[in-house]
Amino acid sequence: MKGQVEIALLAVVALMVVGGLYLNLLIGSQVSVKQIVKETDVIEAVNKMEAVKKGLPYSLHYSYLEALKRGGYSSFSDVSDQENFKAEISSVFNEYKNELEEKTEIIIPGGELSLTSTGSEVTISFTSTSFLTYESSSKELSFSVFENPNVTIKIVDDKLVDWF
Amino acid sequence: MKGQAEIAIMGMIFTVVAIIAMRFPLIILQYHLAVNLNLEYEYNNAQLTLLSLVSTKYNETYSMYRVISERNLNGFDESMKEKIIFNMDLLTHAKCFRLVDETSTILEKGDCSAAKHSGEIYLFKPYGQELVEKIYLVYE
Repeated sequence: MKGQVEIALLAVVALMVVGGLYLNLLIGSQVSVKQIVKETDVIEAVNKMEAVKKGLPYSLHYSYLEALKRGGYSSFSDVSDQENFKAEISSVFNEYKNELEEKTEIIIPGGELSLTSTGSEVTISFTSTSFLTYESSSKELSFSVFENPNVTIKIVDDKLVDWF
Repeated sequence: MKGQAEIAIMGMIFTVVAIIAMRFPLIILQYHLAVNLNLEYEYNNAQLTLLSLVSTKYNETYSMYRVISERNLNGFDESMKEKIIFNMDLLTHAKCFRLVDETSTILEKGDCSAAKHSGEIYLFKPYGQELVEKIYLVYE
Protein backbone atom coordinates (compact mmCIF):
# COMPACT_ATOMS: atom_id res chain seq x y z
CA MET A 1 0.00 0.00 0.00
CA LYS A 2 2.91 2.29 0.86
CA GLY A 3 4.46 1.65 -2.56
CA GLN A 4 1.21 2.50 -4.33
CA VAL A 5 0.94 5.87 -2.58
CA GLU A 6 4.54 6.66 -3.50
CA ILE A 7 3.90 5.86 -7.19
CA ALA A 8 0.73 7.94 -7.17
CA LEU A 9 2.55 10.86 -5.54
CA LEU A 10 5.37 10.56 -8.08
CA ALA A 11 2.81 10.54 -10.91
CA VAL A 12 1.16 13.68 -9.48
CA VAL A 13 4.52 15.49 -9.19
CA ALA A 14 5.50 14.41 -12.74
CA LEU A 15 2.13 15.58 -14.03
CA MET A 16 2.48 18.93 -12.29
CA VAL A 17 5.96 19.45 -13.78
CA VAL A 18 4.82 18.52 -17.32
CA GLY A 19 1.63 20.60 -16.89
CA GLY A 20 3.64 23.59 -15.71
CA LEU A 21 5.97 23.33 -18.70
CA TYR A 22 3.08 23.21 -21.17
CA LEU A 23 1.20 25.99 -19.43
CA ASN A 24 4.34 28.10 -19.69
CA LEU A 25 4.59 27.25 -23.41
CA LEU A 26 0.91 28.10 -23.93
CA ILE A 27 1.21 31.47 -22.23
CA GLY A 28 4.44 32.15 -24.14
CA SER A 29 2.69 31.36 -27.43
CA GLN A 30 -0.19 33.69 -26.59
CA VAL A 31 2.27 36.48 -25.85
CA SER A 32 3.92 35.80 -29.25
CA VAL A 33 0.54 35.87 -31.00
CA LYS A 34 -0.27 39.25 -29.44
CA GLN A 35 3.17 40.54 -30.44
CA ILE A 36 2.70 39.36 -34.04
CA VAL A 37 -0.81 40.85 -34.25
CA LYS A 38 0.64 44.11 -32.99
CA GLU A 39 3.44 44.07 -35.56
CA THR A 40 1.12 43.39 -38.52
CA ASP A 41 -1.25 46.14 -37.34
CA VAL A 42 1.67 48.54 -37.16
CA ILE A 43 2.81 47.59 -40.70
CA GLU A 44 -0.76 48.17 -41.94
CA ALA A 45 -0.87 51.58 -40.24
CA VAL A 46 2.55 52.57 -41.62
CA ASN A 47 1.49 51.65 -45.18
CA LYS A 48 -1.75 53.57 -44.74
CA MET A 49 0.20 56.57 -43.48
CA GLU A 50 2.69 56.38 -46.39
CA ALA A 51 -0.13 56.50 -48.95
CA VAL A 52 -1.53 59.61 -47.25
CA LYS A 53 1.93 61.22 -47.16
CA LYS A 54 2.37 60.53 -50.90
CA GLY A 55 -1.03 62.09 -51.59
CA LEU A 56 -0.50 65.32 -49.62
CA PRO A 57 1.02 67.30 -52.57
CA TYR A 58 -1.95 66.27 -54.73
CA SER A 59 -4.51 67.28 -52.10
CA LEU A 60 -2.80 70.67 -51.86
CA HIS A 61 -2.93 71.04 -55.65
CA TYR A 62 -6.58 69.96 -55.77
CA SER A 63 -7.30 72.54 -53.06
CA TYR A 64 -5.56 75.17 -55.19
CA LEU A 65 -7.64 74.24 -58.28
CA GLU A 66 -10.89 74.29 -56.28
CA ALA A 67 -9.96 77.69 -54.78
CA LEU A 68 -9.47 79.03 -58.33
CA LYS A 69 -12.90 77.66 -59.28
CA ARG A 70 -14.62 79.12 -56.20
CA GLY A 71 -13.04 82.52 -56.82
CA GLY A 72 -14.22 82.43 -60.43
CA TYR A 73 -10.65 82.68 -61.72
CA SER A 74 -9.61 80.98 -64.95
CA SER A 75 -5.96 80.94 -63.88
CA PHE A 76 -3.69 82.26 -61.12
CA SER A 77 -2.82 85.36 -63.19
CA ASP A 78 -6.43 86.54 -62.58
CA VAL A 79 -6.05 86.38 -58.78
CA SER A 80 -5.96 89.90 -57.39
CA ASP A 81 -6.19 89.28 -53.65
CA GLN A 82 -3.62 86.63 -52.75
CA GLU A 83 -4.49 86.66 -49.04
CA ASN A 84 -8.13 85.79 -49.72
CA PHE A 85 -7.06 83.20 -52.27
CA LYS A 86 -4.71 81.61 -49.73
CA ALA A 87 -7.54 81.52 -47.17
CA GLU A 88 -9.76 79.77 -49.73
CA ILE A 89 -7.05 77.14 -50.43
CA SER A 90 -6.75 76.64 -46.68
CA SER A 91 -10.51 76.20 -46.35
CA VAL A 92 -10.63 73.54 -49.11
CA PHE A 93 -7.54 71.81 -47.69
CA ASN A 94 -9.36 71.62 -44.33
CA GLU A 95 -12.18 69.76 -46.04
CA TYR A 96 -9.64 67.22 -47.30
CA LYS A 97 -8.19 66.97 -43.80
CA ASN A 98 -11.60 66.38 -42.24
CA GLU A 99 -12.65 63.71 -44.72
CA LEU A 100 -9.31 61.95 -44.37
CA GLU A 101 -9.67 61.89 -40.59
CA GLU A 102 -13.22 60.61 -40.86
CA LYS A 103 -12.29 57.79 -43.23
CA THR A 104 -8.84 56.74 -42.04
CA GLU A 105 -8.45 58.17 -38.50
CA ILE A 106 -5.19 59.73 -39.72
CA ILE A 107 -4.95 63.25 -38.39
CA ILE A 108 -3.31 66.00 -40.44
CA PRO A 109 -2.28 68.56 -37.81
CA GLY A 110 -3.10 72.23 -37.96
CA GLY A 111 -0.46 74.28 -39.73
CA GLU A 112 0.41 77.32 -41.76
CA LEU A 113 -0.25 77.63 -45.47
CA SER A 114 2.04 79.99 -47.35
CA LEU A 115 1.79 81.10 -50.94
CA THR A 116 4.41 82.87 -53.06
CA SER A 117 4.43 83.55 -56.76
CA THR A 118 6.72 84.75 -59.52
CA GLY A 119 5.03 85.11 -62.88
CA SER A 120 3.09 81.95 -63.64
CA GLU A 121 4.98 79.94 -61.01
CA VAL A 122 3.18 79.48 -57.70
CA THR A 123 4.72 77.88 -54.64
CA ILE A 124 2.44 76.65 -51.87
CA SER A 125 3.78 75.25 -48.62
CA PHE A 126 2.02 73.57 -45.74
CA THR A 127 4.09 73.63 -42.57
CA SER A 128 3.26 72.31 -39.16
CA THR A 129 5.17 71.77 -35.95
CA SER A 130 3.15 68.61 -35.25
CA PHE A 131 3.04 65.27 -37.04
CA LEU A 132 0.61 63.36 -39.18
CA THR A 133 -0.70 60.96 -36.57
CA TYR A 134 -2.45 57.63 -36.51
CA GLU A 135 -3.35 56.20 -33.13
CA SER A 136 -4.64 52.75 -32.43
CA SER A 137 -5.82 51.81 -29.00
CA SER A 138 -7.38 48.65 -27.74
CA LYS A 139 -7.32 46.53 -24.60
CA GLU A 140 -4.56 44.36 -26.06
CA LEU A 141 -2.34 46.95 -27.69
CA SER A 142 -1.86 50.66 -28.21
CA PHE A 143 0.45 52.35 -30.65
CA SER A 144 0.91 55.58 -32.61
CA VAL A 145 2.44 56.15 -36.02
CA PHE A 146 3.87 59.56 -36.92
CA GLU A 147 4.95 61.17 -40.17
CA ASN A 148 6.18 64.58 -41.22
CA PRO A 149 3.28 66.50 -42.84
CA ASN A 150 5.31 69.38 -44.25
CA VAL A 151 5.02 69.71 -48.01
CA THR A 152 5.83 72.29 -50.67
CA ILE A 153 4.40 72.20 -54.18
CA LYS A 154 5.36 74.14 -57.30
CA ILE A 155 2.63 74.98 -59.78
CA VAL A 156 3.30 76.40 -63.25
CA ASP A 157 0.35 77.44 -65.42
CA ASP A 158 -1.93 75.81 -62.82
CA LYS A 159 -0.23 72.44 -63.32
CA LEU A 160 1.59 70.63 -60.53
CA VAL A 161 5.21 70.36 -61.68
CA ASP A 162 7.19 69.58 -58.56
CA TRP A 163 6.88 68.88 -54.84
CA PHE A 164 9.10 68.10 -51.90
CA MET B 1 2.90 -6.43 -7.22
CA LYS B 2 0.07 -6.77 -9.71
CA GLY B 3 -1.67 -3.77 -8.17
CA GLN B 4 1.48 -1.66 -8.47
CA ALA B 5 1.87 -2.51 -12.17
CA GLU B 6 -1.77 -1.54 -12.79
CA ILE B 7 -1.27 1.82 -11.05
CA ALA B 8 1.92 2.42 -13.03
CA ILE B 9 0.16 1.61 -16.33
CA MET B 10 -2.82 3.79 -15.39
CA GLY B 11 -0.46 6.56 -14.38
CA MET B 12 1.33 6.32 -17.71
CA ILE B 13 -1.93 6.36 -19.66
CA PHE B 14 -3.15 9.30 -17.60
CA THR B 15 0.13 11.20 -18.19
CA VAL B 16 0.04 10.55 -21.97
CA VAL B 17 -3.61 11.67 -22.18
CA ALA B 18 -2.85 14.75 -20.09
CA ILE B 19 0.12 15.66 -22.31
CA ILE B 20 -1.96 15.24 -25.50
CA ALA B 21 -4.81 17.25 -23.96
CA MET B 22 -2.41 20.05 -23.07
CA ARG B 23 -0.69 19.94 -26.46
CA PHE B 24 -4.02 20.14 -28.31
CA PRO B 25 -4.75 23.84 -27.58
CA LEU B 26 -1.18 24.64 -28.67
CA ILE B 27 -1.69 22.89 -32.01
CA ILE B 28 -4.99 24.77 -32.52
CA LEU B 29 -3.27 28.02 -31.58
CA GLN B 30 -0.37 27.38 -33.98
CA TYR B 31 -2.79 26.54 -36.80
CA HIS B 32 -4.77 29.77 -36.32
CA LEU B 33 -1.54 31.71 -35.99
CA ALA B 34 -0.23 30.35 -39.30
CA VAL B 35 -3.53 31.05 -41.10
CA ASN B 36 -3.81 34.59 -39.72
CA LEU B 37 -0.16 35.40 -40.35
CA ASN B 38 -0.47 34.27 -43.95
CA LEU B 39 -3.55 36.49 -44.41
CA GLU B 40 -1.81 39.45 -42.80
CA TYR B 41 1.30 38.87 -44.92
CA GLU B 42 -0.78 38.84 -48.11
CA TYR B 43 -2.71 41.93 -46.99
CA ASN B 44 0.48 43.87 -46.21
CA ASN B 45 2.02 42.71 -49.48
CA ALA B 46 -0.99 43.89 -51.47
CA GLN B 47 -0.85 47.23 -49.62
CA LEU B 48 2.85 47.59 -50.49
CA THR B 49 2.12 46.70 -54.11
CA LEU B 50 -0.49 49.46 -54.26
CA LEU B 51 1.97 51.89 -52.67
CA SER B 52 4.62 50.97 -55.24
CA LEU B 53 2.11 51.34 -58.04
CA VAL B 54 0.97 54.85 -57.06
CA SER B 55 4.62 55.91 -56.61
CA THR B 56 5.47 54.90 -60.20
CA LYS B 57 5.62 57.51 -62.93
CA TYR B 58 3.11 57.23 -65.75
CA ASN B 59 5.03 59.65 -67.97
CA GLU B 60 7.23 62.74 -67.55
CA THR B 61 4.45 64.80 -66.00
CA TYR B 62 1.95 62.30 -64.57
CA SER B 63 2.26 59.75 -61.82
CA MET B 64 0.22 56.57 -61.57
CA TYR B 65 -1.33 58.16 -58.46
CA ARG B 66 -2.84 60.93 -60.58
CA VAL B 67 -3.88 58.60 -63.39
CA ILE B 68 -5.92 56.57 -60.90
CA SER B 69 -7.22 59.38 -58.69
CA GLU B 70 -8.10 61.68 -61.64
CA ARG B 71 -9.58 58.95 -63.85
CA ASN B 72 -13.11 60.39 -63.65
CA LEU B 73 -11.82 63.85 -64.56
CA ASN B 74 -9.20 63.17 -67.23
CA GLY B 75 -10.52 59.90 -68.62
CA PHE B 76 -9.14 56.42 -68.26
CA ASP B 77 -8.37 54.91 -71.66
CA GLU B 78 -7.02 51.51 -72.67
CA SER B 79 -3.39 52.68 -72.92
CA MET B 80 -3.55 53.90 -69.30
CA LYS B 81 -5.04 50.59 -68.18
CA GLU B 82 -2.40 48.64 -70.12
CA LYS B 83 0.41 50.57 -68.49
CA ILE B 84 -1.04 49.97 -65.02
CA ILE B 85 -1.55 46.28 -65.82
CA PHE B 86 2.07 46.04 -67.04
CA ASN B 87 3.30 47.48 -63.73
CA MET B 88 0.95 45.33 -61.67
CA ASP B 89 2.20 42.24 -63.51
CA LEU B 90 5.72 43.04 -62.38
CA LEU B 91 4.67 43.82 -58.83
CA THR B 92 2.28 40.96 -58.12
CA HIS B 93 3.50 38.08 -60.32
CA ALA B 94 -0.17 37.06 -60.24
CA LYS B 95 -1.99 35.48 -63.17
CA CYS B 96 -4.98 37.70 -62.52
CA PHE B 97 -5.82 40.72 -60.41
CA ARG B 98 -8.39 43.45 -59.99
CA LEU B 99 -8.12 47.04 -58.88
CA VAL B 100 -11.41 48.13 -57.36
CA ASP B 101 -12.93 51.07 -55.52
CA GLU B 102 -15.78 50.72 -53.05
CA THR B 103 -18.46 50.36 -55.72
CA SER B 104 -16.87 49.24 -58.99
CA THR B 105 -13.91 47.64 -60.74
CA ILE B 106 -11.29 50.12 -61.94
CA LEU B 107 -9.43 47.54 -64.03
CA GLU B 108 -8.79 43.82 -64.13
CA LYS B 109 -6.43 41.40 -65.81
CA GLY B 110 -6.82 37.77 -66.65
CA ASP B 111 -9.70 35.48 -67.40
CA CYS B 112 -9.75 34.06 -63.88
CA SER B 113 -11.66 35.68 -61.05
CA ALA B 114 -9.19 37.28 -58.64
CA ALA B 115 -10.55 36.97 -55.14
CA LYS B 116 -7.89 35.61 -52.84
CA HIS B 117 -5.58 38.29 -51.44
CA SER B 118 -6.41 41.93 -50.97
CA GLY B 119 -4.98 45.15 -49.59
CA GLU B 120 -6.20 48.71 -49.51
CA ILE B 121 -4.94 52.29 -49.49
CA TYR B 122 -6.56 55.73 -49.52
CA LEU B 123 -6.05 58.29 -52.29
CA PHE B 124 -6.94 61.96 -52.45
CA LYS B 125 -9.24 62.80 -55.34
CA PRO B 126 -9.84 66.06 -57.25
CA TYR B 127 -12.43 68.18 -55.44
CA GLY B 128 -15.91 66.74 -55.86
CA GLN B 129 -18.39 64.59 -53.99
CA GLU B 130 -15.71 62.36 -52.54
CA LEU B 131 -12.34 63.81 -51.52
CA VAL B 132 -10.70 60.64 -50.25
CA GLU B 133 -11.11 57.30 -52.00
CA LYS B 134 -10.33 53.82 -50.80
CA ILE B 135 -8.94 51.49 -53.48
CA TYR B 136 -8.34 47.77 -53.15
CA LEU B 137 -6.05 45.35 -54.92
CA VAL B 138 -7.38 41.80 -55.19
CA TYR B 139 -5.23 39.06 -56.71
CA GLU B 140 -4.81 35.32 -56.84
